Amino acid sequence: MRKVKEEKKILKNFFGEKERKYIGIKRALEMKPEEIIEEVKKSGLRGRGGAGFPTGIKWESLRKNIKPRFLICNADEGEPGTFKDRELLDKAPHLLIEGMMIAMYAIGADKGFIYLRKEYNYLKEKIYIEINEAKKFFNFDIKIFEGAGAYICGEETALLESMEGKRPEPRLKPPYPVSYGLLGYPTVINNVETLCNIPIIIKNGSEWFKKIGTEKSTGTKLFSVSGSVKKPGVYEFEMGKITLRELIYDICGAEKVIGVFPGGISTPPLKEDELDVNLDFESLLEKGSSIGSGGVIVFDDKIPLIKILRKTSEFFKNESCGKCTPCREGTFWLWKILKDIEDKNIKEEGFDIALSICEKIKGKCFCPLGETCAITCENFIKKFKDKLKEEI
Amino acid sequence: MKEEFEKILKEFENKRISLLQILNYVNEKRGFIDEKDIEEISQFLEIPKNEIKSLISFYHFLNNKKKKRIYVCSNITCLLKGAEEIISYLKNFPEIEVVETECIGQCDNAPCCIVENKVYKNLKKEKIKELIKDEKG
Repeated sequence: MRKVKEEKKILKNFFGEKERKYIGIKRALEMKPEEIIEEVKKSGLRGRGGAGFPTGIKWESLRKNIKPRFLICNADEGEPGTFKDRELLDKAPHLLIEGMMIAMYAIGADKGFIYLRKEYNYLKEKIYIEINEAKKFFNFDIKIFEGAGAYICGEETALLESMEGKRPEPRLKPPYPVSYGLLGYPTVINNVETLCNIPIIIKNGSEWFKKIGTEKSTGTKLFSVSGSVKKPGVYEFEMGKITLRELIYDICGAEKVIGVFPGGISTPPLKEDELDVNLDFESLLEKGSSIGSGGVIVFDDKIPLIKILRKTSEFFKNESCGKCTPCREGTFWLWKILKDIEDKNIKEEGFDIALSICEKIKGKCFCPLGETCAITCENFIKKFKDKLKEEI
Repeated sequence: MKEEFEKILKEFENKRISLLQILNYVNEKRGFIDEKDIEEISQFLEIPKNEIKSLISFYHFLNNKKKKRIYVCSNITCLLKGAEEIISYLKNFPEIEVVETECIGQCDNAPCCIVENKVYKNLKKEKIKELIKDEKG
């Protein structure tokens, strides 16, 4: 393993100084709500759930003069290979609660909810302890809403439907949740990691925060690395200051690598020779992939590539909500043909059929689920075609 | 159970928002949700039974059968770490229903599974025997 340079050290913004909690919220309460939003806007913080929308702008665009208004923390982290929010909820729940309190004050929210995925139910008590402690000092209403196991609920409008006790099928956007959210009231929905950044920004100022990372991707990012590496886990790095190759080889001790999903399986995989890419929003976009949720999955040749590809399509087939036809049918038939290839019922001409199915899904789906399935599988087939053909 | 329903409704202040929480509660308390529960919830919240059933069929963790479920992750990281072997081994135990589920967010400790909100990490064959014994006991 090579030694990692000083500036590429693993950071501890999130998991340090537990004893100094509530500094951010105390400072925030001395500010006007507009000033907080301005500060968050200036910091350049972008959503950490996958889409990377500027947080300050989201807060600012909340529909005015209507009560009640809500803040929802999206803790329905379902993207395969992602467990950074779990680590935050487990080791730094105080940051989340503080971030939520600041956000609620800034946007004037009456109530805050944490939509916690069922798989993280065991963390519920820990979070409640933190909520109850915060309640001793501050007057905020934050509750945990428990999911029941559905990937689609991570999509913000499906999450709203889920909370309203309906089948979690995404809504048509616009209207966006900031104008028509929970029960029709203005709602801001932010990812766990995004909200955990808020107290850090308010405590240290936007100028300080902006100096971390790159011009367009400010701050640090959590990466959860898993798969064929010696040291899987959650690592915090400055945006754009470390390459994917350094992360998986030098930090996590990968030995043999065939490919990598850089941000969960919703992001197109990168081949071994494409790993020299900085980890920030823009650099990965240039490579035709995305930083996604920061769920880095490294795979080698221990299991056949066709199995990984089939599983990718199977995941989306299983998790498709069934609302729109291109996704419901498309992901099914894509999975079916890949399964046939894996079971050796069809030879390599199957890949052409798979690619044509991807073509028919792309651009036609109601929400990003079907879309990302097609794009990921298409990229996977094109990039690893030779190896896939060898296998069958 | 009605008392608990009232408590949930009081906490969330809205019948629709309480629905999934009540379903979760019943499912956890008894391990499954049956026709009688659906009837009771439907009356309590004034939500049609069919709507409630459509939710139960949608979510992975809501169960309408009496059999105990073990949710084993079969996603990519777990596959790389030998989940298939674990799943086929688990099928030797007829008293438990094996559900292949998607990523449960424990990829750094793959392979992994969930039984009644409890997470089991770094699964190995030997561990499973004990796990099943625990769950039975």
